[in-house]
Amino acid sequence: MGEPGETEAGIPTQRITLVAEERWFGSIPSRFTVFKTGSDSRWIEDDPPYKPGETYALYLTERDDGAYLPVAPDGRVKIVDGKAEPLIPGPVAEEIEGDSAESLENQSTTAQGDQ
Amino acid sequence: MPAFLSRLHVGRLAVVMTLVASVGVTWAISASAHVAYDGSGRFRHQSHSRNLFFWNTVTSDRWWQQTRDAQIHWDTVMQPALQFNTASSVASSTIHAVDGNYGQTGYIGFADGWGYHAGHGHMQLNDYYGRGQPDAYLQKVSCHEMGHFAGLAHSSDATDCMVSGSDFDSQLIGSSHAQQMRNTWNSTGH
Repeated sequence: MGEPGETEAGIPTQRITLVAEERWFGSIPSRFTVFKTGSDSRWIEDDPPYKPGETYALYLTERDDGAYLPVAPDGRVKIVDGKAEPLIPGPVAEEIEGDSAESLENQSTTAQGDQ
Repeated sequence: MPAFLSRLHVGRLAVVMTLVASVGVTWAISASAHVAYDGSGRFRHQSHSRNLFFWNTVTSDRWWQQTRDAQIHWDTVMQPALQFNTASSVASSTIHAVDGNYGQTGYIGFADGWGYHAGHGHMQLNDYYGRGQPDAYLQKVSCHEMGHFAGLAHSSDATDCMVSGSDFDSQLIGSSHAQQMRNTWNSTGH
């Protein structure tokens, strides 16, 4: 990377194909692309590479190019054995750590009704 | 609305909620050695200095002022263990703050460099997400990225600027975190 005025060009980014198992609300293709800053070997803290076979609850917003992004860094929640394992420590993680996927879905459905 | 969804600001964004599986990386669009974290996901720990030299070429008036305020804050709370000085040139700087409209990258601030007080790195501030944000948030982001250069990882404490994610209660480094940093630096020199 060069000196001042440079853009993000030197920062590795990925486009990752994901398969939607369940849609809690909103529309999304069954296969979609997530834009991610970082690579398989270098990444932003608490935002590690996705790996095949992992399951996540993702709270997404669409980019102008049709790819998706988590609405916030803590909008990517790993699901392990049906339970939420947030990647990023903080208030959101403290609230949902250990919650079942069903509980997250119920809360999300409730939120949809609130909007 | 559940509190955690409010913290994600779900109510004011177009949001899709999805349970995802069968992940496969298809391609990467660029590559560079100059990213803050190595394969462990953490900063590399290199050499140490008690002096960080800050060079600010941020073009946005609001970002510039908030990065300046964050620098003064860090310098004040960390004295005498660690100093956040203003560099005399980019060549002598350890932290070079730049801003720009980097687009929908998913980050508003980025500590791009070597971390842990070694060498020279960039603090990138993304105007795409900074526009329309309150000054306190811009300062929180600046404080957060400077903290990475000082060697800090993320905090779970919302009253500390090192908290990651969308929710924060303070744009400053938490007092207990600062004390811990001073003690570490005073006892070990790094």
